[in-house]
Amino acid sequence: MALLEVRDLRTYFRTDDGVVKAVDGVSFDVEKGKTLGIVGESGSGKSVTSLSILRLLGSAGRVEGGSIRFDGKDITALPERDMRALRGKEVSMIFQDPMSSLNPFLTIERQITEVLELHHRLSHAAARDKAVEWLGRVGIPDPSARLGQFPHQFSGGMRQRVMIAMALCAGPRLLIADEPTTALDVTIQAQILELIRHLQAELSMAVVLITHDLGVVAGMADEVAVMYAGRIVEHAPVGELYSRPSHPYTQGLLGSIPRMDAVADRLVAIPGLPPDLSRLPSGCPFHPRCPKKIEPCTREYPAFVALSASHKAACTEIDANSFPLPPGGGRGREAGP
Amino acid sequence: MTAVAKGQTLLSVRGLQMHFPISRGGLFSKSTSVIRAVDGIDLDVKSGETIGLVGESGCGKSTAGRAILQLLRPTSGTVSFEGRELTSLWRGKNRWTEELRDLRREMQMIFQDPYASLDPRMTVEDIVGEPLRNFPEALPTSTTLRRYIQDLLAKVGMDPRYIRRYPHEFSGGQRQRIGIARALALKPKLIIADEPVSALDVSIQAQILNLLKDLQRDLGLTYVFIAHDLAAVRHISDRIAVMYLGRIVEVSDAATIRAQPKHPYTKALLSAVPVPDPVAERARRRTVLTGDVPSPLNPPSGCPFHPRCPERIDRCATDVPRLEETSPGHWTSCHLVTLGAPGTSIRVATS
Repeated sequence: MALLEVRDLRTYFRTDDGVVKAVDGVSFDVEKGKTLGIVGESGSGKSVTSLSILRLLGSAGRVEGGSIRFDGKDITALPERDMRALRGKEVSMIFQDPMSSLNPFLTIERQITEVLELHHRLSHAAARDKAVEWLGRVGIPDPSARLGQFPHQFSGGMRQRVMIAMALCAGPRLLIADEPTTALDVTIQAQILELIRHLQAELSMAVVLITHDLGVVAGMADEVAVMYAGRIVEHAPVGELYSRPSHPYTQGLLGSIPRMDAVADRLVAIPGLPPDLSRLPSGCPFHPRCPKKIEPCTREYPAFVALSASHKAACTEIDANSFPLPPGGGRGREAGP
Repeated sequence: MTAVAKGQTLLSVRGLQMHFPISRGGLFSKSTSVIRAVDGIDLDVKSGETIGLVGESGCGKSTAGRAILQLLRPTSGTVSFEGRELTSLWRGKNRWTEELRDLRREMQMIFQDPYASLDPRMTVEDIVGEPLRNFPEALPTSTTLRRYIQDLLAKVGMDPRYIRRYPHEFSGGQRQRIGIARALALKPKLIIADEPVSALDVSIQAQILNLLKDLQRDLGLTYVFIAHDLAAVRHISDRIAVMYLGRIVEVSDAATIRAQPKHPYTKALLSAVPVPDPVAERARRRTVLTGDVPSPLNPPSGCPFHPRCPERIDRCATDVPRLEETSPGHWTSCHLVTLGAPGTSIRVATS
C-alpha cells in the first residue's frame, strides 16, 4: 500500500469567468520514502494538487471529487480538527517563498517551538532545545543565537533552511515541497536540495516535489508526473521519462530547455501558449500546440496508454500508432483520467 | 556615425564602477557608507557577438547593464561605444547631453519583467511607437508610423492587428515580444537584455531565445545578455563573463567556460546547475559552496570570493586578484590560476 494515494482528484475554482478546472482528474501514488516529482508550467495545476491534499485551498477553490488516502486512511472527508493534527505532524509542506511563509512578527524560536508544543506536547524548554538541535541540523551556524532573531534577519537560503526545520521537526512521513528552490540562487539551490536529500534519507520520508525545473527533478525524483492544463499527461520512473519521453508535451518541454551539456543552435520550442483554464479547447487540451495531432485529438480527451508497467502517457496519437513493445511490459490501455 | 565592422570592438568598458552611497544612523548622526554594486569591470564587446553576463543575485550584473547604457551615471570608469566615450557626455549630475541622447538611439534595453516594463495605459501602438516620437527622424520616409509599427510586430512574431490592444490582454511571452519590438524601433546596434526570459515559462523561454537568435542573424545585432541562468546564457552567448560581487571573475568563449572553467567560482556555479538528465545528474560530483554571497556594502578583503572558496590560499585574503589573460582569449581573476601558470605570458586587462 502506498503512503499517499490520490485518485481522480478534481479541484475547481469558481470565478467571474466561470468554473476553472484547475485540477481535473489526477491520480498518483507516493510510496514510503520515495520522491514523486510533479512537473508543469504555470497554470498546470501542480500547486493546486498539493494544496488540495493538505486542504489549504482558499475560499474560491473546492475539491469537487476524488479521494485522497494517506497511510490507508481516506482523509478527503476528515474533520478539520483531525486534519490539523495531520498537517505538520504527518504531512508537512514547504513553499517557494520563505519570506512570505514565515511570520515576520514572530521570532524563529516562537515559530519552530509552536510546531513542537502543538504536535508533541513538549514543554517550552524541551521544545526550545529541540528547535536549536533542528536549526543545527539544517545547517544554520550558531543556532542558539539565531533562535531569537526574526525572519528578516536571515538570507533567502537561510530562511528556506528555517522553513525546512519547521516542516520536519515534528517528524512527518510525507513532505510536500512546492518549488522549494525557485526563489534561490543556483549555488544556494544546490545547498538546499542537498539538505532535503540528506534529511529524506535520514528520516526515510516520502517527498512530493513540485517544480517547473526538469533539471531539479532529474536529480531528486524516483518517479515523475508531468501535468498540463489540470491533468497528468505522462507518468514514468525518472530514468524512463528522460530517456523515452512519450507525450508530445513532455518531448516539447525537454526540447525547450537550454542545456549545459549539449549545444543546439535552436531550441525546439512548443508553439503557442498554455490554454486559458476557463476556456479549454475541446478534446486534448494540448492539441492546438501539438505537432503530432491527429483528427480524434480535437474531439475526445485521450485515455492513458501503458508504455511499460510503470510508464503511461495520455495521448491518442501514441494509442493510434503502433510502437515496439517494451521488454517486460505489455501494451495496454487504462481507464482515462 | 562611424560604422564598426562585424568582429570589431563595438563597446569597450574600462574600470567601470557604480557605487551607491547610503545613509545610516539617525537624523543627526549621519554616516554614509557605500554599496559597491559594480566595482571595476573591463569588458570588450565585438560587433555581431553575444556576450553573456552571468552571476547570482546581487553580483551587480543588472547595475552594470544600466551603467553601460548610462541609465545610471557611473561613479568612475569609461564606456566607449563605436569609439565614443559616453560617461563624459553628461550635463551636470543627472542630465544627458544631446550627443549622448543621439548615441543612445543605437543602444537599447530589454527588461526582465514584461508586466512592469510596459505602461498598462498605453496601447501596443503607443508603446512600440514611443521611441519614434522621440526620434521622428528615425522613421524611414518610405513608410508610415503605423505601417512601421506593424512591420516591427510581425518581425517579433506578433499579429500586426494587435496594435490597438493593451498590455493586460497579452501573456508574459507576448509582452516580452512587445518589449523587444520597442527595443528594435530605432534600429539599434547594441541591445542589452536584462534577464529577458527568467519571468517566463519554460516553453515560452525557448520561443523568446529562438526569436532573439533569429533577430540577431537578420539584423546583425550585438547582444549583452544578462542572466542568472547559466544554461540559457550558454545557449545564446558566444562569450561568457562571470560576475561575482561587482567584479568579473572570468571571461572566455562559451564552450571553454563550460569545458575548462578556471575560476573556482565558475566551477562551483557550473556544478550547481541541474542537468535535465537523471543519469548524468546523479553521477556527477558537485562542489556545494558553503555560506551566502557577502554584502556588497561590506565586501571581504582581498579576493571577494575567498570566504567561500574551496581552493583559497593565504594570499587570497589580502590581495585583490586582477583579471588577467591566462590563456589566449581566456581571462581569469584568481591568484591560483595566475600563480599556477608561470609559463604563459600574462597580459593585464586594464588599459
